[in-house]
Amino acid sequence: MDAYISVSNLEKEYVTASREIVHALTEINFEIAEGEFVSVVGPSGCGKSTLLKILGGLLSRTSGTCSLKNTPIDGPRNDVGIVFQDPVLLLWRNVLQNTMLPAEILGLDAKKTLPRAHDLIRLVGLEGFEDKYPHELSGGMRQRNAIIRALIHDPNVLLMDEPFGALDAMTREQMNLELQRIWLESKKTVFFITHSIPEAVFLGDRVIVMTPRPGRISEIITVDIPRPRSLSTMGDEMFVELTQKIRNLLYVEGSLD
Amino acid sequence: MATTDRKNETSKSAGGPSLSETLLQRSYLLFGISFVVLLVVWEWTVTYFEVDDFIFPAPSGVATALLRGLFFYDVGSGVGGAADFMGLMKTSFYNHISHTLFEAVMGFFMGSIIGLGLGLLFMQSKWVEAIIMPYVVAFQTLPKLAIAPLFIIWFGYEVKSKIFLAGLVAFFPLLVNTMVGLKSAATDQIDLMRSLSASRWQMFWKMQFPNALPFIFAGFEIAVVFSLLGAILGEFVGAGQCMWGGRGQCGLGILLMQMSFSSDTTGTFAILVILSCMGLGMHQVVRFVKKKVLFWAPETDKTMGA
Ligand SMILES: Nc1ncnc2c1ncn2[C@@H]1O[C@H](COP(=O)(O)OP(=O)(O)OP(=O)(O)O)[C@@H](O)[C@H]1O
Ligand SMILES: [Mg+2]
Repeated sequence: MDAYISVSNLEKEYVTASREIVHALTEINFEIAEGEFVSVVGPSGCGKSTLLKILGGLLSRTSGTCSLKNTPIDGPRNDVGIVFQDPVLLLWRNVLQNTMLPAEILGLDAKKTLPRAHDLIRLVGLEGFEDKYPHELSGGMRQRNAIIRALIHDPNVLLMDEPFGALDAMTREQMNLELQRIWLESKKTVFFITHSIPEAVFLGDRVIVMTPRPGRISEIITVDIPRPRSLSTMGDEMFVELTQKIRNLLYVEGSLD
Repeated sequence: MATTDRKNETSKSAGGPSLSETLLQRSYLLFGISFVVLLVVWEWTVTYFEVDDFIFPAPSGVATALLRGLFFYDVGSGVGGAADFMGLMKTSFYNHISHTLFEAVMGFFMGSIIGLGLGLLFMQSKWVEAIIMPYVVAFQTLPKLAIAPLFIIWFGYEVKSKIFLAGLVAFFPLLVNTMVGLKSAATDQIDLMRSLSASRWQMFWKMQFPNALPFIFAGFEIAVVFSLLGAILGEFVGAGQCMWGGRGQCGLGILLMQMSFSSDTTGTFAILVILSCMGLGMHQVVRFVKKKVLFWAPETDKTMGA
């Protein structure tokens, strides 16, 4: 397998204000191929967001190596798009302006990115809300705004931290289908954190299962279900088997109650 | 627009607004009612117990003094044989009001712009902040009343010293609020900007500064009231000559002193009414601008450094 993202022997310790050391990640080893969709599941506090921020170059690592396209990750990169756990919209910008933020900062040509922004807005069903401000949007709409903001500059890599956590079940399934479609079309490399085991299996080529204290990878499971997957896929024997397997892994480790 | 929608919704969901709800939603109505009740009780008490005007004037007396000063250019109430020591009373209220207003507004702009500017500057470098801040704080803890005579010595009796004094008291809320506001950016927002490799400049203008605006406007709201106090304080210590129209010295502060010398309590009350109206008015102007600029911000009180 050609490694696009490669992580080996990664350790992360936080030093808190009271000088305590929190061992957030240990012995993290995995590789992600170009264009691969990798989901990550694990209980709260097992270090998923920490791992994502390290991959995004926002957080330093304590030891180990991380590389993207064979260059070490030592800072943020323009070819990575991040969807944070909270939407993090700028309150003084409307939907369109928030979507365009990365294009503005990266100095991209507005003539090219503006039509793309409108396409993305339509894609996630925010048309008609272009000039609405975050305080006028629902939680789900804000999250959708944050998702298309990460796509506007067409990054090769997408790091997503529970992007659908705030959505209702129905919108969430729809967004899952949309995300699969976007990914099938664009073949981006995606690192996708979720709390939902079915979502992880539905979207992922592989699923990284993590356990806490300290956060480590318990197993990486390959999902050999052909694409495009539809909602009925969730009833397939293979799908049920895989979700059950992950559930067992998490329960056996005693990390989910 | 959004707020009216919300109001309508809440009243609908409660099955039609009750009286108490209507009153709470229209706080000015509530204020109006309570104010009238207060005036009536006040008037009645003063008349019933035959309280001397010199001790506590009735609202009707205050209103008369106010109207006379505003419309008939006769400021003193004449109660208790008020002597016009400085000839102030022959100067219309408007001259005094315009002087004080001019000093307060100029001081407000000067002090708050410098406070804002220094706040922005201090945040550019931890060094500047660490070196200069202790002096600023030490200076702020000095009682302004003690500084006022110095300002008269340095800048003279004319408007300049009042403007500077008003500016001085307007300065600090802006400085502190700007600094607090610039530090208020959430780690998430910083991460977002960093993930896009934003330059320091972009980080500042696209994220940090807009984030600080609610704090900065809270600073303006405090500063505008302070600046009026500063101007009055300056006039107490030493008033200057009238700049336009009127004879002798001008300013509500000096007029207030004069009234108290001549034991004109009714007149004093009239001036206090004018002062609080001016304070409220200036505050409302700032709030109006704030509403226009901060339409995107959730309505919370971010009052710091008062
Ligand atoms: N800045 C920090 N300082 C100290 N400890 C931290 C810091 N950030 C996170 N931690 C700790 O590191 C661990 C992992 O946190 P992280 O946010 O990565 O978890 P997570 O898997 O994303 O959880 P969730 O699913 O709830 O989002 C937690 O125990 C947390 O308390
Ligand atoms: Mg997290």
